[in-house]
Amino acid sequence: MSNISFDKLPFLLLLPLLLLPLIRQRNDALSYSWTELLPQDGLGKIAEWVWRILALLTLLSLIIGLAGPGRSETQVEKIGKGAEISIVMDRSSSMDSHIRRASNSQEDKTKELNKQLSWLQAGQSQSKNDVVREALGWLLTQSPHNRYALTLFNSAAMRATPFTDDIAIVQAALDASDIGRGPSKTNMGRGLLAAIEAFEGRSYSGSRVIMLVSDGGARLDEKTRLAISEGLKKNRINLYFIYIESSPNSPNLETVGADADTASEEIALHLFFQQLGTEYKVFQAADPESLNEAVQHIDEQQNLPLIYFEKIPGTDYSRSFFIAALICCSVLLLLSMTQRVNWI
Amino acid sequence: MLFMAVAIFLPTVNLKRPVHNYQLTFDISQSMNVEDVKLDGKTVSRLNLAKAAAQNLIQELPCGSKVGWSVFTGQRNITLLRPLDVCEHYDGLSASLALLDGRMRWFNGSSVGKGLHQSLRAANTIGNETAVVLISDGHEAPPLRPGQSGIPKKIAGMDVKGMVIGVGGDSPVPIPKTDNLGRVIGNWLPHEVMQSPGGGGRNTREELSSLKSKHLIALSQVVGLEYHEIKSAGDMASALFDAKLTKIAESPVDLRWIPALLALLCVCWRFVPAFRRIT
Repeated sequence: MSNISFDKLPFLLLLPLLLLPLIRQRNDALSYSWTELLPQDGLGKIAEWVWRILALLTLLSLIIGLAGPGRSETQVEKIGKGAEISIVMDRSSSMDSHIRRASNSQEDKTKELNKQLSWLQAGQSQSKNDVVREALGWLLTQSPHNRYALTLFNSAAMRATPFTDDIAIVQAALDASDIGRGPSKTNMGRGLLAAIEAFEGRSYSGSRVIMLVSDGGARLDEKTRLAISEGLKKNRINLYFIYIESSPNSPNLETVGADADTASEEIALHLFFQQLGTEYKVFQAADPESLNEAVQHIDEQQNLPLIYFEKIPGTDYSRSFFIAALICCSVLLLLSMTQRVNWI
Repeated sequence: MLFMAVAIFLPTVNLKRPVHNYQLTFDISQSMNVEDVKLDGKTVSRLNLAKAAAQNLIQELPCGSKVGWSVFTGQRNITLLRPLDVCEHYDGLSASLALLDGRMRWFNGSSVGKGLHQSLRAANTIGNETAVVLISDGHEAPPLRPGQSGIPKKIAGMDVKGMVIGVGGDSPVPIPKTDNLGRVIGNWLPHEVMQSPGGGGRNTREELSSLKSKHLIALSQVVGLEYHEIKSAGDMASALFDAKLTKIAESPVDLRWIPALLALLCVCWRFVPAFRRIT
C-alpha cells in the first residue's frame, strides 16, 4: 500500500500561482501598433502553448516538491522463522554479584585467579547481570525477527516491555538493568506469571517461549504452581530455564534425577517444571561461554514459521519533483532563445 | 535554475537544535494509588495522572528528544528503560509506559529522598546530559525523624539537572491497601503504619496521604532541582518546556525548501503581468 502524503501541506496554497503563465499580458510582451497587422504565425502559436504548458509544469513541480510529498512508513507482513520469546530476568541483588567458575584442580584455580586478575587489570570484571545482558543482547541482534518481551522480577514482577516489533525498546530495557542494584528478595512465581501474561490476548502466530534467567530457585506455593501450569498450557508456551550457577556448590540441574533431594530450591523448581506437561528444558550456565551456548541453542530450536512485520521506511519524493522542475525550466530556457525579444 | 539545482542537491543539514533528554522516575509506592487527582474530569490515582503526563510528554517533545524511565519504591530505584528517541520509538515507548503499574511494587512504603538520590546517580550513569524528572507525592513511609532531610548529601562531581514533579491532592485521604495482584483490599489503618517518631507517641496520621509539597521542595533544593506541581496531564510537558532543561544536539534538518522557494519566486517573476505597461 502506498499512501502519498504531504509533509508541509501549507505550501500547496501556492498552487494558484499556476495561473500566472496563462495570463496573456506579460512583462516581456512587445508593444505593437496594431496586432491585426501581424502575420499569422502557426509555429509561433504552438511554441507559445508549449511555453505556457512547460512554465505551468515547472511551477507545479516546484510547488509539489516544496510541499514534501512522500510515502509514510509502512509495514509489510512477512513470514519468517522464529519465535515469540518472553524473557523473564532475575533483577535481584544476587545477580549483581560476580559469576563464579567451578574450579576443581589446583591448576584450574591458578588459571581462574589469573583470569580474575586480568579482568581486574582491564577494569572489566563482569557480574552475572553483565553476562546475561551480553548473551541476551547477542540474541536480539542475532535474531531480530523473533519477537521479544522483557519482564524483570525480584520480589515483584516488572514488565519492562510488552511484545514489540521494535527491538531497540527491548535492548534499551535490557541495557537499563545494569543501572543500580536490585532489591534482595525474589519471588519467581510472580515473575513467571507476568511473563505468561505477556502472551494473554495475543493471537497465536508462531512458537511461544518463556526464557527464564535466574541464579536461584524458588519454592512456589500450590496456588502459584497451578496458575503457572494452567497459564503455560492455555497459551501453549514452551519453558526454558537458564540457571546461572552461583557457586561450585550449586546443584547440576541438567543431570539431576526425579528422585533428587528437594531440599534445594533450585531442584524443587526444576522438578516442578519437569512435571508441567509443556516442553521444558534446563540449561546450566557456569560461565559466559556456556550461557551463550544455551541462548544459541534455544534460538536454533525455535525456528517455526512466525509472522512478523517489516518496516518499510518512508520515502521522500521531493527530489524527483525538483528534478522535473529543473528539466522543464531548461527546456523553457532553450525555447526562449528562439524568441524574438526585441524589434531590432 | 540555479536555485532548482541547489534544491536537488542540497543534503539534509545537521543543525544544532535544543532537544530534551529525560529519565522519568515514577514513585510507585502505595500512596501513589490514592485517587485524589483529576484526569479528563474523572478522579484517578496519582500514578495514573503521572502516566498520562508522561504519555503527553512523549507526544509533545520534538524529534531527537529521548525519554526513558525508572520506578522507585522502598529504598531502591530500578531503571526499566534507557532513554530512546520519542519519534522513532513512539509506539514502543507508549506500549511500555502502559505496563507501569502498582503491581511492580516490591515494597509498600518509599523513601522519596533515596529515590531521588538514586535517580540522580542513574541519570549520571546514563550520561548524555540526561535530566531527571521525579514524579512523586512526597509521602515518606516510614516517616522521617524530625531534623532528617531524608536524602544523602549530593555527591561531588555529579552535575545532573532536573525537576521534581509533585502529584496529589491537598487534603489528607486514606491510602488504599492492595494485595499482590493489585486488588484493593481496604485502606491502611492508623495502627498498621509507622507513625512519626517526632509525634512523641501520638498518632501523627501517617495512614493518610496528601501531596507533601514542602518536603518535595526541600528535597529538590538539596540537590539543586526545580519543583513543579501538576494538576493535569499537560502540566508536566509545559513545565519542562519552560524550564529549558534542554541540551543542544545536532539533528538533520531539511532545508531544500529555501532554494526551491527562491526558484519559484524567480519563475513567477518572469510571468508577473506587466501592469505598468498597460496604459
